[in-house]
Amino acid sequence: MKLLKLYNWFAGSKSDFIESFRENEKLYMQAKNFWDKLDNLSIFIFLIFIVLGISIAAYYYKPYNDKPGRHYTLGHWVFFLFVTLIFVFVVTFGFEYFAVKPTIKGATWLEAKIAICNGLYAVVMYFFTSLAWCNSNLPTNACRIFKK
Amino acid sequence: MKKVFVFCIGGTGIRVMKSITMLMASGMSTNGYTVVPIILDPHMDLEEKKNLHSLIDLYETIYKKTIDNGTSTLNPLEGFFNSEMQTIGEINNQLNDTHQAVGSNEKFRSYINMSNLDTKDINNYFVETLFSTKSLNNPLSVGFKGNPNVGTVVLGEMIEQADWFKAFKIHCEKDDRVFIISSIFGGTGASGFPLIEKKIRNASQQPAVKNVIMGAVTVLPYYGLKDPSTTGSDIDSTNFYTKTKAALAYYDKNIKSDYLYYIGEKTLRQVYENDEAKQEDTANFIELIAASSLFDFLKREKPATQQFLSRAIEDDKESMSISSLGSGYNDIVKCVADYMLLRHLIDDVPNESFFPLVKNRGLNSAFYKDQPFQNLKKFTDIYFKWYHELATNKRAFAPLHYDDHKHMAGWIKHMELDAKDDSYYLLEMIKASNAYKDKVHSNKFRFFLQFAYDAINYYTKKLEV
Repeated sequence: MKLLKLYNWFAGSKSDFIESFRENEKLYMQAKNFWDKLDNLSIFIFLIFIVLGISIAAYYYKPYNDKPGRHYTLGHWVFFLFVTLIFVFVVTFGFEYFAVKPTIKGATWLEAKIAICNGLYAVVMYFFTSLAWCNSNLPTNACRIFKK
Repeated sequence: MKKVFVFCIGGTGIRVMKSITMLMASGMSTNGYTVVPIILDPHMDLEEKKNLHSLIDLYETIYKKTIDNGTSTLNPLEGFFNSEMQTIGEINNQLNDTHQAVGSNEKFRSYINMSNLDTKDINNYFVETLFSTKSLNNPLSVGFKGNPNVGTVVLGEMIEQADWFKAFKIHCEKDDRVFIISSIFGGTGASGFPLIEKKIRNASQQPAVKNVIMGAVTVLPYYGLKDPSTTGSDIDSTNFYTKTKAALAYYDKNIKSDYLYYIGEKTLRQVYENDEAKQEDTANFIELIAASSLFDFLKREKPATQQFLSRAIEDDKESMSISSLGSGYNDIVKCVADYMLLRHLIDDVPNESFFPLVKNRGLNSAFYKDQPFQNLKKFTDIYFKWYHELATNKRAFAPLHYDDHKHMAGWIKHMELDAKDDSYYLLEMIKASNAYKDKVHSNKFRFFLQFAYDAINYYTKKLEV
């Protein structure tokens, strides 16, 4: 499943990326190859934000709020939101870096942009998981901030 | 509901009743008995007496709120405010305060009709031998000023004619109990206790009254008063021990209570201002211990023979903590520690805008501004003042470190609690709320006290072991 299209709005499209190598056939082919390899692994990139977005929210609502320290406050929830953003960025970037080594110019930046975008998606995932958790019967000692 | 009529006689009776109220608020159980305090002090304008009435009213209001479920009532809570208190006026369906009938502005001289006696009459000389001129000229509204000989004459008739005593005789039923609190070294308490007891045991028309299980605590001298020659007072505390010995000799043969508790100090450690009219004496450890005797009495069955009891402490220290008190006092320490923790939560929780119980149980800012919570806050302020007095008096009852909110593991001196700071209690409150699935009521005030107690007890229950 090729899902890199989901990141085009931030990281740019395949053509945007490979067009810059049009002058050099070898690099052009390497860029095309690089993109395709990344696109083939995009399902994993996609899963990273989903799994981590949900997991971090779940960790916040259960184990973290089972411990003392006024963890129910908005400040702690926001802190975990930033944790989600940074953690997902690091994991995504690390995965990309080791899965498809960026050997051509601009490839590292492309992977970074996809990782940033993935972090943002994870934040949205974290938010929606929180929304669902607050409005469901799932147990938590946290404040159900988004409860209607 | 079975009742215990608690006769609180004189200044000590009032102060011990205050301690009883505080212990009840802290969670001390009365074993299912409704406490009916009857305050017997002829001082008509005594601030301490008025304050006790207000405190009892406040306790009742809070208690009633905890069991309020609209048209029905709930079972009493476990923990704070778990026992009912009712005034004799309420039991008798009277709105007026029946305690007021005790005092009178009449002078003792007039009360005994001394003016009917000729100055040369031998009876006149006899009366002047028994009573000093000062005693004869004192109005009865200021009490008996440490003169049990005056109290004995006046109280007997006052009791018999009082509305509250008639009400007591009507409402005292089988399985009810009587507990009498008095001091032995003053005027009102020393004379009032044997009189009340006698009136009860002689109530042959009312078998339930006559045969009622009766307990009493007699407080031996535990404080001194400033030299009367410098203050102009009529009371001299150097006579306290002499009066005590005389009274004890009388009690030995005449007191018929099933349980008689003696509480006192070995020396008069604290010296108060010698002002009979004000009696602004701060709360004392001895009063607290005397208060605990009521709860002990309510746990006991009727004895085969009369029982005499007292309490000892482990170590004779100026400031008492669990180690110097001994493990026998753990229940009292736990109660006081629990309520002082509740005080902390009462101050803390309203400022927690993201506290989950705001959404889950409706404990929002409107709830904290509402009358029931404000009543609890008012009661708690009085409680704090009371504990502060106990903790700074001589001898001091100071088993708590209550001022370091960042390091609460040492809340109880010589003991380590698992709760390191207040967030541990807040978390346990949330857990208690989440675990409580019963939909029987939606009484927010009850929720607050219930979950606060569950949270506090989770950490302090190790004191019960």
